[in-house]
Formats: sequence, structure tokens, C-alpha cells
Amino acid sequence: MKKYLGVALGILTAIGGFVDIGDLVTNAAVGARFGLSLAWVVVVGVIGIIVFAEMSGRVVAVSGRATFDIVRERLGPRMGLVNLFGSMAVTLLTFVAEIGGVALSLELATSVWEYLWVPVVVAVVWIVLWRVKFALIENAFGLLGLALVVFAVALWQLQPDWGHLWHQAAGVEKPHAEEWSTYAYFAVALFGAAMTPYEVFFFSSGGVEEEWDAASIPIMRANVFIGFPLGGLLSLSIAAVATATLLPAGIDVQTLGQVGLPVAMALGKLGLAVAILGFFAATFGAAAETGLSVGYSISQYFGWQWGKYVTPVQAARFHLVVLLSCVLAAMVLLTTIDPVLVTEASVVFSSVALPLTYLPILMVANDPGYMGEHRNRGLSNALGTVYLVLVVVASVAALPLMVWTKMGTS
Amino acid sequence: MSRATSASSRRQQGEGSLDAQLNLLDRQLIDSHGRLVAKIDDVELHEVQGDLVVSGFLTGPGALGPRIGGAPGAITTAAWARLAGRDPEDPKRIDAAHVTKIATAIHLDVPRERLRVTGFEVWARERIVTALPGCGDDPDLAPSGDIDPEADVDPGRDDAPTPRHRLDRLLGSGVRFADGRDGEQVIDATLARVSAHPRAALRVEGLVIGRRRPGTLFGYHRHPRQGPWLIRVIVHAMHRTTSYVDWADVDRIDWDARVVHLNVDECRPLATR
Repeated sequence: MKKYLGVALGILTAIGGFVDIGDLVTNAAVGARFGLSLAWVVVVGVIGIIVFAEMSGRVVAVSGRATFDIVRERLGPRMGLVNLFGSMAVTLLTFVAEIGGVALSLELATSVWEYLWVPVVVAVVWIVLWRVKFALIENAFGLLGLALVVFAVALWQLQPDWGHLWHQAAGVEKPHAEEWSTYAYFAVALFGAAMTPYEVFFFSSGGVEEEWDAASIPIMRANVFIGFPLGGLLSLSIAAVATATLLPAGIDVQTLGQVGLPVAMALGKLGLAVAILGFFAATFGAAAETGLSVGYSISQYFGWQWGKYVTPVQAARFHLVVLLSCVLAAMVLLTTIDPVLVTEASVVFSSVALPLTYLPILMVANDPGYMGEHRNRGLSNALGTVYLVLVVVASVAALPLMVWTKMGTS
Repeated sequence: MSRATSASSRRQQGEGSLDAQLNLLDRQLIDSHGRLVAKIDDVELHEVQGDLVVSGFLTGPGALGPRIGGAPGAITTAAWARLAGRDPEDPKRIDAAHVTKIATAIHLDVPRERLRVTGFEVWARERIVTALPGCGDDPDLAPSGDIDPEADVDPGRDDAPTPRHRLDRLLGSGVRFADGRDGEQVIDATLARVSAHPRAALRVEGLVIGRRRPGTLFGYHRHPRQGPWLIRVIVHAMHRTTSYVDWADVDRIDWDARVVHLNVDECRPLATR
């Protein structure tokens, strides 16, 4: 019985922890402009992160080697360093965006200016990363993040024209007012929001923190195969409520408040309160994950002791990196940069940085020296190869599309 | 060095052999308490009776800098040498005798404190982390009777009368055949145990020669059916001309000019198993 509770807890936290600021903002923005015509990208992205996370989870369970350890080992010090710079730039950008998201959620709840919240939020995030046990961070915010189910409830309450929504989602059709280039740009952004590098850095390092071994693979797979698709459904319901309410009203999503607006329309104040709680939990949990991911990745590249399974004294350089990231994130946000803009940039750069992390994992998941009997089989390699092509295409296309569409504003 | 003095007989690429770049370089070192020590930033090779034997692992910016190369690498090494107060040519070193197991990570038989390779860790611990409340403690740092924390388990280079080299200098070296033609470059070195003992030293038993810059075949030559298909095809296409030369066919290595002189006129095909 206890075992099943553990599995259920893992699945629930995987659902609640799936959505972060990138998913919230990008899905709402796309829903408000393109309806559900880009829903297929969310599906492709969710399957992609399932393939990627399952491989890296299996690698860490069998070999004990987390993602950036393997990136350095396969790519060598030079390409590994290029990837480290790229991935850390994206992860820090995401960290900034998540902290901004926490501050925005608190502003929505208290009407206190978001930038006044920033120092408080950064301090609390750092204390959590310094003191709180890994399992507690993962479970508490994952469970609280389930408050975002309110978006699914709102969708049901809005009683949209389901046939029309399905028709939109089933066909690759863009609204007439939009260009195909903008459509492609938002497709790349949605893909990047679903397949963010930090998710895999955190997921695989979490495997070491929780002392996975080969026997943990079925539980890991249950979390990934059940939790991630349900998390993806949450993403889609965010897009769908925006389609049902913001698209007809012609509202372009610029703030986190607008992401929650459809819930307020459907369920009133109480619904909005639950949505804000969900925003807070999702962004705070993701802030903790991205903050840790910066420390994990840099430490793994250089071979330093890392992790919350040892005390800070035993992993001094790791905690120094985490501390410096917190200070840097606060400094960036206190320039009064718009967190929503940072979010939009971070999901696009996620697409750019992804291949150099994806390729080493795909190779090692096939290496008998690492994996023995647990190496990739036909299906995981077929999907793995399809996604190798997809992540490369998205990576190459991302920056030209970003410039051409002026970040989707044209 | 001359091959004439080699005591070892010619050996084929055998089962259980390793690739230095693939299986040692950039792998994680783990201490006797299961804690992470460092990455293997370079491998130290030691000339013993005509053989090239793995004598130690080099870690830290002093070893990593030259491998990154260019201005960033030079700055890394110079900054480290100045901050740590060390000779830039003398990176931190862990003796190969400490190795207990070579797997996806390399396991050592000593606790990391005794290896003294983590100056930055000590600095971060003493100056920053312990100054903050709630930093916890480290049971392994408490003085215990049987371990003298001052005992240096790495006597360093002084006990070594024979020349020592870095693997990174060998990788990327050019190849010159007996007839004076120049071949491609060394991209990996295969290693084998000098005896059947599981902890016996590793010696170079052959060199992988290819057109590319130093880079491995990612193990795709060792497991011909290793997937996925697309990557296997690309790796094999990139390494069409990659070949192998046995250590017995190496006449001498000019470490300064970075040229490997062979006593044969051609390489043999890289065996795929």
C-alpha cells in the first residue's frame, strides 16, 4: 500500500510540477492569438520531454551519472563548455523568469508592487535551496501546483463549443490575421516551453538525490508516462480557456494577470484565488528547480561534489554557485525588466540550446558500457531519432524566426 | 623512446581493453566514501621500459586549460596558477595506484581530503559556506586516529626519474610512416592491463589514427550494432578512413614536435567488434 502511495505521490507531483512560467505564459499567449491551432505542438513537445526525460532517468538510474556529467564526457571539454555556457544562460534566464513569476503572483494576491517582492522571493528561494530537504521541495510545490487544475475546471464551466475547439486543434490552420512566420515562431516557442533543458538537468540530478537504481526504473517511468501527459493536458487547458475567452475579446496576453483572467470569468474570485495559488506554487517550484539546475550543471561539468543529499559544507562550491545565481537573478530583475518578456525569450533560447544536451544522452542511452540490458530498444530509438531531427530543426529555426517576426509581434 | 627496449610482446586489441579518450578522459572520479572528487581533466602517461603506462590523473584548471585551448584555455591555466600559487605546468595529480574500479565513473581507494586536489572547495567552504548559518557538518572532516590529514598521498613528480607526458599532447599528434610520408593524426589510444591482476597498471597497446581532430568514435567501433541507426551511420561516415596502429609498430614519439614515428608504411583497419 505504501508503495502505491509513493507512486501516486510521484505522479501527482509530476503533474503539478510540469507547468512553469514558460508554459503558463506561452500557452495563454498562443491560445489568445492562435486558438488551439497550435495544440499539436504541445502534444509533440510533451511526447518529446517524455522521451528525453525517460532516457536521462534510465541513464541515471543505471549508471548514477547525471546529465551534465555525461554531456562533458561525450562532448569533451570544449563543446561541453560551449553547451555549459548556452545551457546556463538559458537556465539563468528561466530562473529569473520564474522568480519574476513568483513576484507577479504575489502582486496579484496582495497588490504590492512586484519589484518590492523580488528581494523577499529571492531570499526565500535561497533559504529553501540551502536548508530544505530535496524531497520536501519536490513534493510540496508539486502538490500545490495541482491548484492549476482550476484551468480545466474553468474550461468545463465556460462550456465552449467543443466541436469548434476540436476542429481547430485537429487542423493546422492559422487565424487569417496571422502570418505563417509568426505561426512557426510560436510553434518553436511552445516546443521550447515544453522541452526546457533545465527539466532534464533537474530530473536526472534528482535521480541521484533520491538514490535511484535499476529497480527504480518502473516508478520513474510511471511518473513520466502518466504524470507528464496529464501535466500537458493542464498546459492545453490553459490554452483552451484563453481560446474561449481572450481570443474573441481580442486580448493579447502581456501579463500574468491576463493568464488568470479566463478563470476569473468562469469561476469568479474564488477560482482566481486558486489560480494565483497555482501560479505561485508552479513558479516557486520551478524557481527552486532552475536554481538547483544551475548548481548541478556547473558542478557536474567540473566534477565537483554537488547535491542536497550531502550537507552544504560537503558541497561548498555547489552552494556557492547556487548563492551567486540567486544574487544574479535578483540583480537582473531589479533592473525592472518585464518577467513576461524574459519568459518569452527563455523558451525560444531553450529550443536553441537543446540539441547539445539531447545528443549525448541519446548516445549514452545506447552505450552498452553504461546501460547493459537497459539500453534503448527499437521504440525509444525510433522516437529518439525523430526527436533528434526535431530538436535540431527547432534549434536552427529559432533565432531567424525570432528576428524575422520581431519576437512574434509582426 | 625506442621500441627495441620494450619487454612486452605484441598484443592484439583484446577484450577488456579501454579507449583512453572514451573511457578515462572527462570521467568522474569518486573517492572511498562515494563522494565526488573531480573530473579526469587529463591522463598522465609514464614511460616504462618502452611502454607508455597510465601513471596518474590530472585534474583542475591546470590540466583543463590546455584541453580547452586557445585564449580561454591559456587564461584558465594562468589564472589558476596565479590564484593557487602553482607552476602552470604542474597541475594537481592523483596517482593511478589509487584506482579500484573503472566503470562509468573511476573509483579511488582514498577519501578526497587526503588527495588535496580541491583547493577551491576548501576556499569556498572556509570563506563562505561555514560563515553562513545552518551549513551542516562533514563527519569526514573530523580528525580521526588512523588518518593523518597532513599525510600527502601524492608524492608528486619528484620520485619519477622517467619522463611523464599528458595524453592530451599525444591526442592530435601527427603520424609519420617509416617511408617518410605523413599520415593522419592520433585520435585515441587503446589501453590494456599489463597483467591479469584486476588493479594492474594500464599500458597503451595501440593508437587510433583518424583525419578528424581528437574526438572519439563514441564507442561505435566497439559495438558495431550500437544504435540509433542515424548516429551510427553518421559516426561511421565521419570515420571512414579511421585506422589503427599497434604499439609495436610505434618507433618513437617526438613529444615536442607532436609527431608519432612509425616503423611501418601503413596502418591497419580499425577492428570493429
